[in-house]
Amino acid sequence: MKRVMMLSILMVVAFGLSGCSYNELTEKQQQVKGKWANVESQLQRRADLIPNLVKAAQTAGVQEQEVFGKIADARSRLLNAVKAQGAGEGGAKTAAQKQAILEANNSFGGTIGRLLVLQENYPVLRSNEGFLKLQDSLEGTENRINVARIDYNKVVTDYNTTRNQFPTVITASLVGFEEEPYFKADEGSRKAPELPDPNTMRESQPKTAPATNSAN
Amino acid sequence: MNTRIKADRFSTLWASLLLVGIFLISHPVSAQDGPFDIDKSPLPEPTSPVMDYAGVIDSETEEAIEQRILDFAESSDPKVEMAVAVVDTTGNIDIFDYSLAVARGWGIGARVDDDPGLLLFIAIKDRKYFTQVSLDLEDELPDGVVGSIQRSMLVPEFKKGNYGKGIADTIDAYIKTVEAKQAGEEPPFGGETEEKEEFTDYDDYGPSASDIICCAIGIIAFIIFIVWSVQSSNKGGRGGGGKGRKRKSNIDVGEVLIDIAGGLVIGALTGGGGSSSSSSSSWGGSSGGSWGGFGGGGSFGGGGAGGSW
Repeated sequence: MKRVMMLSILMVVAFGLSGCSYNELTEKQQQVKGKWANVESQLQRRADLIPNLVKAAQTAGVQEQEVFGKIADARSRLLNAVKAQGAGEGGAKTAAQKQAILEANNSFGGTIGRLLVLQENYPVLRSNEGFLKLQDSLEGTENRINVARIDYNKVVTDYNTTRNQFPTVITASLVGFEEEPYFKADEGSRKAPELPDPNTMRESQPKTAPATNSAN
Repeated sequence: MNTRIKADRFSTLWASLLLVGIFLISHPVSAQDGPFDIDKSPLPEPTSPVMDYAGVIDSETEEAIEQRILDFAESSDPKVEMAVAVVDTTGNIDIFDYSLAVARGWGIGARVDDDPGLLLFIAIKDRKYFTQVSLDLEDELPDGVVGSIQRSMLVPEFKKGNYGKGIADTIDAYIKTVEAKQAGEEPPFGGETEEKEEFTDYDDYGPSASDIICCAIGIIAFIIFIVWSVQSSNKGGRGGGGKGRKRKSNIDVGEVLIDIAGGLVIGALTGGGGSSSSSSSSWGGSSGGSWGGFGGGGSFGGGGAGGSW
């Protein structure tokens, strides 16, 4: 009898432990959702800002057609991915949809970094306060995306660690808690890529622009 | 009969070992640290809202900036905490990451009013500056305005080596901009076309009611199952005498189980209700003279602008 009692107690405690990790999972998943919402709103904000900056640059006579074209493509890919209806529970984005957004985001490559250093290569933009302000905004958005990315990855690490631990992983797979994707750094976005020579991308430009990329 | 008892014992032992194993494994062993934590300040705790580690601001100007910041914190509504930090260099860490870590780590921003605050951060030898603006102050000080103010107030003075004046003028311009916005007037440094962002913060969510109910139902179902199986095994009869004793122990099992279940349910209801961090020290005040530290907000999301001179 004692044995049965001991066993029962142990089992109840064990069940309570694994059963209640459902709460923990939900709590951590909520944090992931919150941080993800932040990531998405910053990506959206960037997509909204880019056309203004491109327009301002074009008005000032910047002819980086190749970069502008790439940015436009990446932007529409990103917007499509962000606007896609969430297929998850309650309209939430599934892990696969998040992955698609992150991939679309990476398709910007180093193009945004190039937008952010335009004023270094085009002296005429350096005195254009309107353009500089737009650049501040875009840079601020890049910074926010990076912060949102780090914050998001932190809670994802926490969530995935909990989710994949032994007793919890049973609950997680039974109830359907998916592993969440990490947001890998898009190194090209905040800093200009160290490409051979900016002038190789700018055939139609006069040679007045300084050829050296100032250290940033 | 004999072999059955043996097998029974064996499975009990095995189950106990398994459960012990579960307990051991279930304790997380996670301690991962990134290369640079943007939540922990690399600088020591501040003793004043103006911290000049590089020693480039003369004491008179420093006091004036300090007083201006403290006065503004008193007069502004919601209360805005501003801070200045001047270092020699941020080493190989990007000034943005470094200053964000300082702003978050120091907890700039009064907790009561959604933490509006900012940090003007300068690395003298790197010739770089950055102003971190907290989430709640981004409306009043959008990136473009912050960048504009720094380009017109800070950079020209810094180029001449007048660090104190550059910082004082910049802080002054920030204060005037925020004051104008709080009073609903046109800010002196031009409006901005940036739209407001809504931030959803799920941070403080505890387990929802449905989780607790689900958990409780699971536990209760399990108890019923256990009690039922214990009773049915009793009915099946294991050996002869001692009927009275057996019944008594049966009740014990039920009681113990109910106790544990109750404890678990209460634990689920009261525990896990989100960590309510201890309320932090107040801003202190201009009366005492000694400064009480920052409000502990530190909700910076990467807003602000910077550059080099």
